[in-house]
Amino acid sequence: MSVAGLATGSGAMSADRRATYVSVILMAALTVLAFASLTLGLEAISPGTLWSVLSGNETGDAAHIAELRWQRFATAAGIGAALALSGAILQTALRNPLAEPGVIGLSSGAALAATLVMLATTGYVATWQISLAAIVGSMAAVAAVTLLARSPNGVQPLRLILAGIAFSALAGAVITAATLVGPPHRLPRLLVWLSGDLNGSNWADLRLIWSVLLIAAPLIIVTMRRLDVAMLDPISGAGLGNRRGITLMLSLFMAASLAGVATTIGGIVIFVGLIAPHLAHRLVGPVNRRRMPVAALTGALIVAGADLFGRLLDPPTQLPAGLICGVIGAPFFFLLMRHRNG
Amino acid sequence: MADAILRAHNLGYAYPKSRPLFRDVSIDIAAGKATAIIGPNGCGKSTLISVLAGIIRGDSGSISVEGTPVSRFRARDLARIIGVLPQRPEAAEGLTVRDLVALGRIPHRGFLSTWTRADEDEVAAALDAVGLEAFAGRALSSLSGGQRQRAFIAMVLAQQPRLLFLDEPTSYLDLAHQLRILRILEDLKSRRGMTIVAAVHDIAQAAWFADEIVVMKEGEIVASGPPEEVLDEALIAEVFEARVRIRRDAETGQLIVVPLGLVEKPSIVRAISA
Repeated sequence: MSVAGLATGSGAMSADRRATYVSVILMAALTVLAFASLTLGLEAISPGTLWSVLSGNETGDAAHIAELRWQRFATAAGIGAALALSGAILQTALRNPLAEPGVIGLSSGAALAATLVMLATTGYVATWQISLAAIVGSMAAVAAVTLLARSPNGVQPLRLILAGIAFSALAGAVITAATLVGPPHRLPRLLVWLSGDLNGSNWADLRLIWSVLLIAAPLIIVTMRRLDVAMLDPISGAGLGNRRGITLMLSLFMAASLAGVATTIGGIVIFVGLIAPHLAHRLVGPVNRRRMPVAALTGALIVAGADLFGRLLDPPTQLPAGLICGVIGAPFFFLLMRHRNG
Repeated sequence: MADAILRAHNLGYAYPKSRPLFRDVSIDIAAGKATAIIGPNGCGKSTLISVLAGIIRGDSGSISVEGTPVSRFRARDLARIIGVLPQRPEAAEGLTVRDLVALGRIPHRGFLSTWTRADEDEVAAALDAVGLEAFAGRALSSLSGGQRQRAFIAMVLAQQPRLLFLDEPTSYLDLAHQLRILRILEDLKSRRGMTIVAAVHDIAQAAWFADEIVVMKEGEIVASGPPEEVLDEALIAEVFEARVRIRRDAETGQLIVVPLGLVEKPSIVRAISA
């Protein structure tokens, strides 16, 4: 089939096939990245040794290092996928390309709650306690922001974003204030956490993020078609029988859960929720059944890649993945915007 | 009218905390006919269409569709009967024509049901009806204004509605594209028996295309009926504040509306010259 034939012929078939190809390529890239993450580092593990570890013949230091690196890689990938899905859901549901867990205040709500728990309690705070606080925090942020954005005609997307920005600013101020007045010995852990560090990821983190993804996946699949309607203007969408309120509420709930848990484990990792869905949109278009999986894979690649990069850049210093994402993400997003306008 | 597909009684609607956009509007939409709603900008045409189509709820009055009060319909069931094309429909960047038209199938698809052969056939039929088969794989943004409008009409057709509301479907289009859209609508009416209600700002076009004309001014219906009964020079002068001459074309019998000038308002003239 010629290029022209592909462009005009059976549109759906070629678009779906293209999305499949893109997903397969991204999965291959993720596999390569997994291999690199397991082998590279301060203690390099040769492919041969890795093979012995995987086949269970090697149980020494190499096995231990490989296990730690796998936990870290899989956690980073899960966080990336969760943030990307959260961003993709928000952008579609709010009909705003700038919507992102960070922008509408979900990450800030999670971070604020986690910060207060870390600073206010005495004694050791377990990760699950912080997680719980962060999830509650991001849900509370959704509730607060939605209430602020309410109008006689329902929740208005633009108001929601403005409310989110206001909420983020407030939460940021409270976090800063808390770090100034909080007990000094608790600050290092908090500061590292806030910048999005994955050092010390463990099986608990890995299980947590992937459980949330596994629970969210069927919900997203069920909501996807309703979300597709949000690609249209509100009147056309309503004309298709879509009750916007329900879709919006369900979407906000999913986005809050995904971003809340991702923030708990990885701290505030910015730009991924913005960049991954945009890249996916460029690769496979706006239809959600094609865009969501590609966004998730892209997000996984970005965060796992950023984490590996931060680990390899200047060992033994470990730069947090969130920091790398911010540094790489800002100019990248700028380029994306320029390219789009041109 | 015995064969009304939609009846609205004493409808009223006001934006929150502002003056009412319309009040006590009663209207019967004749099944299988084309109805044009005309009136000056801001007279409430678009809002009336949104309320009649069940997109927004009126503040007062009642609407029944095929004999059933509209409040008893689930949104999805209503969407299988009524299709709506807004004045400036929008779609996400990068959406292809085919994917757009496929969205029209949403009201017909179950909670988890997959894409079926029937869905595929309806999408193909809708593209065929608007003559866009060859553009199925193209991005909507790469089309001309007229093609875009036809693509959105195809989406609404894939919805298989019996009653179609369109808000100024030919605005912003050149003459050939306007005629093409009107011919599509004519086909839908005569071949499929679809009921069509369109807000139209061109009086002659309304006369040409519609079986019934509804004239609105400041939120009220001031006249309704067949074009030749409703349209007269005095009414147009009153509603649009424009002087026109209405003639009938000798060959085709079509109404021709010749604009002559504005209705002079003495008070304004005095105010300006003073």
